[in-house]
Amino acid sequence: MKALCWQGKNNVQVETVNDPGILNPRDAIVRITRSAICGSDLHLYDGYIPTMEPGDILGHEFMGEVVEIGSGVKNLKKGDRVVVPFTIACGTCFFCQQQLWSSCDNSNPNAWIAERMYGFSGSGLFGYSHMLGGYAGGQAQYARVPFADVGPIKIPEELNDEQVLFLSDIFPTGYMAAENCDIKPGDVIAVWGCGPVGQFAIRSAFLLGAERVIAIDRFPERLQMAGAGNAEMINYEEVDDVIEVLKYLTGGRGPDACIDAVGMEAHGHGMFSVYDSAKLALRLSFDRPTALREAIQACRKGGVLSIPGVYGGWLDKVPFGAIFGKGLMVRTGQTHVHKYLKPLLERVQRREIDPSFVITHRVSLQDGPEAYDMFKKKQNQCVKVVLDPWKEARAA
Amino acid sequence: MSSSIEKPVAQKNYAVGEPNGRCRMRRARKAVSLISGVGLAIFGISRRSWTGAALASAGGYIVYRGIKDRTNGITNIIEVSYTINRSAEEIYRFLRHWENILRLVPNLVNVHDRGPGLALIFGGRFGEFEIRTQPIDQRENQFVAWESMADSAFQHRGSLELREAPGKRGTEVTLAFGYQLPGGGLGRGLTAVFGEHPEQQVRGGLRRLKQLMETGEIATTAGQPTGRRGIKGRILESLYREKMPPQGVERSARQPMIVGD
Ligand SMILES: NC(=O)c1ccc[n+]([C@@H]2O[C@H](COP(=O)([O-])OP(=O)(O)OC[C@H]3O[C@@H](n4cnc5c(N)ncnc54)[C@H](O)[C@@H]3O)[C@@H](O)[C@H]2O)c1
Ligand SMILES: [Zn+2]
Ligand SMILES: [Zn+2]
Repeated sequence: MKALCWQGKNNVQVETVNDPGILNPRDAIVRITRSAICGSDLHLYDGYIPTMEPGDILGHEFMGEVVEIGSGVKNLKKGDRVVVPFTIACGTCFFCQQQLWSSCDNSNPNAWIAERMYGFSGSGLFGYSHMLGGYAGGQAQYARVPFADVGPIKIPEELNDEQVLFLSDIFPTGYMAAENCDIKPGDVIAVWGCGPVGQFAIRSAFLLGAERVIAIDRFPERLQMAGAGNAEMINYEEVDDVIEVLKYLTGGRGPDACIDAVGMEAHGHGMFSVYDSAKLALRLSFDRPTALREAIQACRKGGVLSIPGVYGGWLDKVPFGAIFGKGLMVRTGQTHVHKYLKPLLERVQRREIDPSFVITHRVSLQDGPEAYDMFKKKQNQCVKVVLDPWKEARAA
Repeated sequence: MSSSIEKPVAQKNYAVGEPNGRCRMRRARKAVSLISGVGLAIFGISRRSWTGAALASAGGYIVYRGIKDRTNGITNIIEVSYTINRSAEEIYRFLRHWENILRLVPNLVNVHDRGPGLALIFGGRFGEFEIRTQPIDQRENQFVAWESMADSAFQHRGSLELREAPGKRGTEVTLAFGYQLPGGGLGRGLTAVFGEHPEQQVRGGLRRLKQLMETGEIATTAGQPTGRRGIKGRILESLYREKMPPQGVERSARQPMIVGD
């Protein structure tokens, strides 16, 4: 089959690899009909996530048709159309039973690496480094899906692929980020980053009853997309101080909750950015928490700091005193995707939201490498790229 | 035979400065992991009662303390705990099936029940080694303890305990193992067969037990497709143990030969 493989920093290639097969009884094989490139993939592309190997198959946002099932999978059959959550979870461990799916105890074959780094290991993920399982990903024509009896959700015929593909990650991720804000009537939510995750966080905040949402980014097309979702917009390159603007917009209170949908590769501005670049150059640190610092500083007393943006290692100059001084509640982590599949699918069915609004580019797998480059550089007003793994095959 | 101690480890006082076994472990890099192997094998083999021959009155707790005692030439100590979301009865029963043991224990090839004691045959690409060990005590659904026979080249002792976890979280499983690596050729050979990271192997064994008990399978990526690895990729592949099949998959059908008894 054809697959997008990581071959090092800024180097993704289309390769012909073996088709996946069933390895465990609870596996299924899915013929992928749509797959997406995620902001998280950019952290791999930019070489920020350790334990990647040249040749790793990328991709964790995918859906398709079940073509093979292991002997332990009773709830799926060949031909079922499913969306696959990017977190791999067993369904029976303590964490899965608490709905903490991305903390599953049993799905990471390389748990020992994560245990050394973090004390304990989270769940395995598709296509996201060996520390997090080393599973082959879904930017390919087929994928093996472990624990297929608990993960994939069946999709009713009346919904098309683009409407449901993002149940695999970014819709639940934005939704969980908003849910973590404990939104009450009258609440004002600020969202750093208007990438796909930020876009879903904005819309989810409204779905969950936010009074106002303020979106922060520097790309006009992304801010406009946020605006189309009823958010107010701050282009941080056009204002002197984001925190002051937020104070003004909230009558001096500060946002009730702040969402960092940017993560470890935040674009640097402000007083610490030179310092961050120097540290990065010296390899003393690999995360750049610009947006996180701002979010901490801006948040109102007793507010919530919700962090869907990915961080990998040690953070420097994080104003922890402000977290303490204002009694902030911090919530973060990989999304517990399984928990949100059904309720969010129902919201799509009820037409409360059509997740395909974020898609700006549709390309074939063959064009994947250029798409990575374009998405990284935010060229051509790119917000979200969807891949069709069979486009060439059909044309031929 | 019975012991008056109900929950061995519950009485252990962690505040009373136990020497840090892990740091020592790291210094003693060249070491062997038989740990899970020896301990779990005893579960599987002890179909007849061992308690008669055992130091039963000492009880599992005393044995456990003994493992942590660095006199008697035992200097390497490993202790690993996992909570398994199953009852102690289920875990104990599971461990009494040979097919299950074989899926858990790396490199265990064969077991001879010669009485007194067991001869465990471990093998790898570099040859086979016999480890002579004997159960010294066990209590159903609670613990099993064992130590090397006096004539064993590999001196060790160990215990595996099952304790109920609070809040219906299942069972806390602790494997403690102390050993002294023999010098000379045998020591080097053992290191070659079992690798240089015994603690990781113990963790691996116990984690496989947890995975099998909780999910019915062992998580793996061995055999999945990959793109071109190149030289760098191949080095990393072995570092992350990608090519290692989940233990025992290819031999689970094979019954081990138990000689004697
Ligand atoms: N928690 C999870 O499970 C999960 C799931 C998916 C993605 N993520 C993470 O969410 C983050 C966003 O993902 P995405 O797909 O939207 O990525 P993206 O790269 O498309 O979007 C990031 C956005 O942040 C903006 N930005 C950069 N620096 C900024 C700053 N200082 N202030 C404000 N905005 C800034 C960029 O302009 C960009 O629009 C990534 O870190 C990704 O890894 C987490
Ligand atoms: Zn993603
Ligand atoms: Zn689980």
